[in-house]
Amino acid sequence: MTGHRFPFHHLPDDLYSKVLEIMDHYDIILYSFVSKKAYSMAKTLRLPISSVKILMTANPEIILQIGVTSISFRLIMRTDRIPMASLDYLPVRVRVVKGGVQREIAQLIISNQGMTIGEWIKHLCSISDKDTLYEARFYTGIIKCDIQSHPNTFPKLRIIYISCPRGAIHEDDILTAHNVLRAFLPDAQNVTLHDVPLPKDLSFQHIGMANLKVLKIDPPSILVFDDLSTWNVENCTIHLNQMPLRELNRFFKLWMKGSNPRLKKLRVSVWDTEIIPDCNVLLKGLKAKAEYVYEESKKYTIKNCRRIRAEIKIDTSDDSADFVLTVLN
Amino acid sequence: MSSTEQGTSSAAPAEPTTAPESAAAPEVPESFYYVHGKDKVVHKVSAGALQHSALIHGMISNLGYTEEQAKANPFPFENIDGDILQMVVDWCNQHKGKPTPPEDTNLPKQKEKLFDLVLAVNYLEIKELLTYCCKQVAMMVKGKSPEEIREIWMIPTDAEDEAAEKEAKKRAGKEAAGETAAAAGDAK
Repeated sequence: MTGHRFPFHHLPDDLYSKVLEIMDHYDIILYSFVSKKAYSMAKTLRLPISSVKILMTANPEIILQIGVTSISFRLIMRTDRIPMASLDYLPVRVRVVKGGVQREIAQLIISNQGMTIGEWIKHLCSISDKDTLYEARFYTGIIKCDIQSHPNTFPKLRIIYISCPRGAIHEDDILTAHNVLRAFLPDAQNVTLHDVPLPKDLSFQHIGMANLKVLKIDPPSILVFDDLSTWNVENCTIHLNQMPLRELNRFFKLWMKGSNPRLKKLRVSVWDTEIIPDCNVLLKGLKAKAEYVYEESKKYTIKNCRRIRAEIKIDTSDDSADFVLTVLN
Repeated sequence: MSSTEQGTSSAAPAEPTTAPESAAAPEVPESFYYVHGKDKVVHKVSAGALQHSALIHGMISNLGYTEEQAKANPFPFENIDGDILQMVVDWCNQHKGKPTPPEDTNLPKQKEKLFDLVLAVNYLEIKELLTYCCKQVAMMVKGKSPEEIREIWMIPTDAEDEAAEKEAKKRAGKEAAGETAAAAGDAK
């Protein structure tokens, strides 16, 4: 450290602000931890943070995106604090990394600043501009805390990702997924559920009927495909391990009769399958017009009762198949 | 560079030596003005160099002083230390009639004087130098941890801030009470 010291807070307000405006965003964010006054000053600068991503893993990470620069705060936890039963745990230390386009620019290890996990999340989410996009990823095998008991810790999340460990389903995982969805689904626009077991009172049907822009699911249990026609999602991606050809055909027919008016894109991917999909079953009764037909790639167009056109694209490989319905106008 | 000489603002200063002319000296004879700080040392500065300061430029733009009048009436800046004013004058002379570069390597090196320099430059309204100084202040904490920032910038802790606020409130309360008592006494 240099020996020179500077009584920064003795500067007149206009100069104080001028120095902060000149500073790098990375340094302003670190300055915001110095005191309440510093935090309040950093907030008034309305930093152009476009998105904040919160990764609720064993060592939670909060990543701020400012233009092409990302600033990540990884909270290093004690190993006996895993799984995380509370947001009131104190990190041991915090690793701050400033990254540019595909490279690391700066790295710093700082103390926990006397702040709990919840306080770190709250602090870093609250210095952003109002238009910031907030995203959180929850890994239920690692997170065991009741998110709903911390209503003011998280901002309104627009993007939620929940992942459960594969294999045996634990009641804890169901409860955590349930808590996260109950807390954030009303404000969410983009939801991804990866192997998430759902409780009886919150089915995929409930989630599909929320006004989501994007929903991506790979359900651990069999999805009732016929429910899809009541979903209200704009862009839906479903990963399955069984090919629902008849159900998809029924869904396309219902779409042609006017169901799912908000739908712009539906993608159904089937993995680990050696069965070649029979397009005759999929397209039966649709009056689909072939755009091109090759062995591994086919494209058809269909039209609904409102004369809105959609294309159905089918791509197959040795062990996977991909069906995409794209609404054209 | 400017020349300096001991003197007072009230008495006419002795003849200061002239500043060296820039390589591309204007054909029209340049006018000079005189400034002094707290230490009363008078600095002779060309009008071209002083244009950097919006404050001084505003003061002299309509004065129409002759050389003699300017010599007899140096601008007094009693709130600026002599050595700080010297730095400012040097900088103005170095950047006379030149476009200011994005990064200035001619900034004063004495970092311990930076606080006074920032205040002086702000007062004299020298926009470019103020920007350079603020950059230098910002650079002091570049890549530092919150603890280091607190130490370098001498930032009080929340507890110290709260204690100072309480103290200020207490003082204000006492002053208000004193004024009320004085007003009541006057009324009697």
